[in-house]
Amino acid sequence: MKKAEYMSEKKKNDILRKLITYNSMLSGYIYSLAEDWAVVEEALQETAVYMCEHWKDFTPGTDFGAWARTVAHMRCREVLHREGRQDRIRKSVSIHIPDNVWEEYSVYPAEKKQALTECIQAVGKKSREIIRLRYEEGKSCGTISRILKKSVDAVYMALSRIRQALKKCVEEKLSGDTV
Amino acid sequence: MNKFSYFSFLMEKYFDGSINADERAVLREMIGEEAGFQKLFVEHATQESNLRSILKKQKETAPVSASRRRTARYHTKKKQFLWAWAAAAAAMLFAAAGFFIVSYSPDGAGKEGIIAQRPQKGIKPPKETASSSSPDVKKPGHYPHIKYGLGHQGGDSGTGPGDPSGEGSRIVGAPGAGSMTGTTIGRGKGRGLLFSRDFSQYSEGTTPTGLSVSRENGASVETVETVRVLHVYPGCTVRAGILAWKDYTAEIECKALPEGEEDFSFHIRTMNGQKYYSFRIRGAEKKALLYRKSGNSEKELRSIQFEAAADTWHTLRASAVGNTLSLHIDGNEVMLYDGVEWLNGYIRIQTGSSCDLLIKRLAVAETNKKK
Repeated sequence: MKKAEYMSEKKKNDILRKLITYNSMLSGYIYSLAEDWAVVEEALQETAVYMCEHWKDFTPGTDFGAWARTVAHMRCREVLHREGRQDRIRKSVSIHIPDNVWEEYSVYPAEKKQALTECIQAVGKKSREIIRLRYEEGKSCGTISRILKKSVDAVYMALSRIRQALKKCVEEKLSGDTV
Repeated sequence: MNKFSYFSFLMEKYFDGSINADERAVLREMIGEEAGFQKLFVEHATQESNLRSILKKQKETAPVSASRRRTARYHTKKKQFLWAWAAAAAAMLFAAAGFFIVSYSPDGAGKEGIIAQRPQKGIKPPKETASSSSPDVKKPGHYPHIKYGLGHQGGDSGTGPGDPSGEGSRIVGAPGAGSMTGTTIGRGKGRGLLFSRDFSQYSEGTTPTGLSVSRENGASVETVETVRVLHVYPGCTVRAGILAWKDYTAEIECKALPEGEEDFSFHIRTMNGQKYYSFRIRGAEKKALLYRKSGNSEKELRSIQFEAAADTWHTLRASAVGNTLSLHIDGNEVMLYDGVEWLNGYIRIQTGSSCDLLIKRLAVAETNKKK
């Protein structure tokens, strides 16, 4: 009896740990459905609540990511339905992306996250300012363009370059090279 | 721009939330066509989420930078500045409202008084006296540069502390026995003078400024028996001063008609139309009385025998010092009451329903004013 309880508790903890690990992928996935970061936060919270309440539904050894995405998809649909925007899912750009692609990027290891954090600190002053405005302040690219007195397209391109640089930096860090 | 760059550009727009329908359709098509773009899209989506969570966390845990502290200080100061302005504006509004309420009491005298004070067409504006060229109503102590004389210009034998030279500094009580024909407050310059009107200096038909009359044409300057006076018609109330007046002496030089049937009141420390002390002269009863009016109750506090001399201008001086009220008629203290409940208020003159009051002069001076 005690062993069964222990196993149940262990299973529950494993699910929670996985959920945290899959958090980035789930956020991106929900965004690809809803195209709204506010909906992402709400749906993600409801996904976490649902998975904590129904952790027994998950069968160990099966695809956790698929289960998580299914739950997230349902919760996102509910949130959008409450707001009368359920059509968003049907028009989603990610409709053609197969599950295996999502699964490939589902786990974002802690060391990778640490590397990304360090790389953010290492970028140039101008890039750092764009990142700060975009992600810390949550400003749109249009607003950033007005603040930095640049065109919106230039901001998009700058962000794209920064993203490439960060990706390269993280890869280099994880491969043991120093930047 | 190559296909990859364009795809990156579209993804930036997509995750910025500013992609349009056409661009979304292109992006969707590109993702559907090539597996590479699918991977790029998912990679971009997860990186976007990570960047958001990392920088959000950094923002929450990072110490406040110097520039942000400066910004915060600026906003704090700005807020304080705005609050200070708001408080100052509110205080000014409050003061203005208070002054308005004080100046125009709810007994109805004020509203009509405003109407009565409006210059009428064809009437020459009043010529102000030297003393009345100063503001109409002043709070106590607003005339520090003006000396005033309480002395007896007529040289009567006052026993009070009045200054016979006319250069005295304060009004304290009555000059004692003896007439006051020569007289007194409001004549000449005076320190502590709160209000003064010599109606002989005003044009006929006008109502001098600073006076509130309870009804239109209820009181105006007229020439009666070759004397220019303020004629207060029967059943009318004239008011002067403000609620903040505390210790003061108010004096009028007057004659009531018809003789032998005088009926008028001199209100002092009037809080409103329902709360005041009233010295009342009733010729028919040959009495001078003091009433306290408070709400619906009116209580007789003092009563003396008094008979006005025929065809004579009398000087009534009502004083309020602390909790003491006194009435002097023609220089004689005729009434004293110790037990006043409220310590401030303006003055009013009220005529009975069949009494005309003619006032040559009205003056109010602060009492117990130190040198």
